[in-house]
Amino acid sequence: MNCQEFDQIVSELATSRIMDAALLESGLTHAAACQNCASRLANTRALFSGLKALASTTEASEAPVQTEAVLLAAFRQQQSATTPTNQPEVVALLTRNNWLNRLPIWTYAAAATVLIGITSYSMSIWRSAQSAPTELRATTATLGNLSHRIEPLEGGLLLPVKQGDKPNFKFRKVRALQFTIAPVDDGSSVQASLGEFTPLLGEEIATDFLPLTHESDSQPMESGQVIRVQVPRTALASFGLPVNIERVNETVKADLLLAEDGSARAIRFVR
Amino acid sequence: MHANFSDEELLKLMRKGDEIAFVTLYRRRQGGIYRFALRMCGSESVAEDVTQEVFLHLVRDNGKFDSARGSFQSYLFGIARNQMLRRLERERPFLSLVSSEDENDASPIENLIVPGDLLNDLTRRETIESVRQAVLALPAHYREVVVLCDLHEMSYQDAAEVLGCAIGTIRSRLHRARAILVERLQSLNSESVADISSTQTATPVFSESFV
Repeated sequence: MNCQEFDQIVSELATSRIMDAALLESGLTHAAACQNCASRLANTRALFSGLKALASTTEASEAPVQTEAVLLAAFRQQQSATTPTNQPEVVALLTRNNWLNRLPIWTYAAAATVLIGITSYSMSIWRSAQSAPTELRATTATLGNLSHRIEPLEGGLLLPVKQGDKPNFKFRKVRALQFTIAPVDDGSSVQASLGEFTPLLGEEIATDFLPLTHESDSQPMESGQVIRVQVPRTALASFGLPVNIERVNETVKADLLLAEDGSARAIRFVR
Repeated sequence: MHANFSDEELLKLMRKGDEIAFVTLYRRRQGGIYRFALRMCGSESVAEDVTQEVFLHLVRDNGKFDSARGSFQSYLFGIARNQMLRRLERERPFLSLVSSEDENDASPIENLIVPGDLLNDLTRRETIESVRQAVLALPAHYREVVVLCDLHEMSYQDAAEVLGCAIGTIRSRLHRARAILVERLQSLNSESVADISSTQTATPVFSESFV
């Protein structure tokens, strides 16, 4: 065996893969006699050892959990698009920049139509609340091209929210802002920061308020309202929150923060 | 029940709108796709994006898979490979050979460290990092065969299906890629020896680093 022939089998020799016994013997004999080829064999063995060690550093790596939620939402949306039904549409309100870079065009369109649907519904709620704050009844709103039933919970009271001493509302500083909350049933009011304010009931816990518009797009907010609604559980995925696959067909409670012009500014999910 | 189904059976159910089938298929295959992308580019965020794109592609075009042309796994890897090449081409001027600082701070390498022998740990970490950099510095057509065959331990046949080329091509590219890696690692090691020699300290040569 010469050096060129040795070069052709050096990987098999280094990995001790099953090979012809005569070829193996010939290769090892050559390596014993040729310093360059012996060095080549040792270095190739070292390479394989290094590659194996490198592979082991990532052998347990997996995609983040939220990727599954995003894909599931996309799957449901695709199914809705190809098979029209009366099932609730995925609320694809996207706010994270990295999501915006990665989602396909049709997702933007869906998100835009859903946002428009929520805004128009919110405006109608706002107008009715301005005239006579009453119990909110279950209603149907159009989200995208599908009808979606929005059901008020816990009595369905509209809760007017008045801004306190901060003139410029920015969602990224919500925890620093104070609001006066005056439940319409008895006229009493409480002071609380937006991140903490009632109407969380009993053992309820909630996410922070998640903005529905970019900070730069939103107008300063003088006052607002919060309404309790139910949304499809897949809406969680739109905000990078995990969705339990076994409960995807259920709804989840959410508080929607409406600005004075009726536009939906933020949402939080309640459990 | 779905866990016992083959990829092809799950795909059929998925085409009929079965969400559980889709999730089962995703959970079964996402790890391999994610690791392939991670090993190709060295970036967790890119690997996440590629994984998402692969399965979004599946959601949108789930009728394109033809089992006569190869396994479902090879089909997914093929999509991932195309996504990777597109990204590498687009981001080539900005591709970094080392992880950016905003990547996960807790490197997987940390998991390998066994307390007790700091010198060995350090050597091992340095060696893995050297190999990682050498692999990432390979041209894409060599890197992908190393990632598939040496890191994923995929057969030449499967790798040929993923890359859409002949087995002979896989074999020759792999041979050349390994030769380049050996040269680069020897070169890195020589630099290391030179550096350490200047401080009068002995160091193992590359061929002894792993043994």
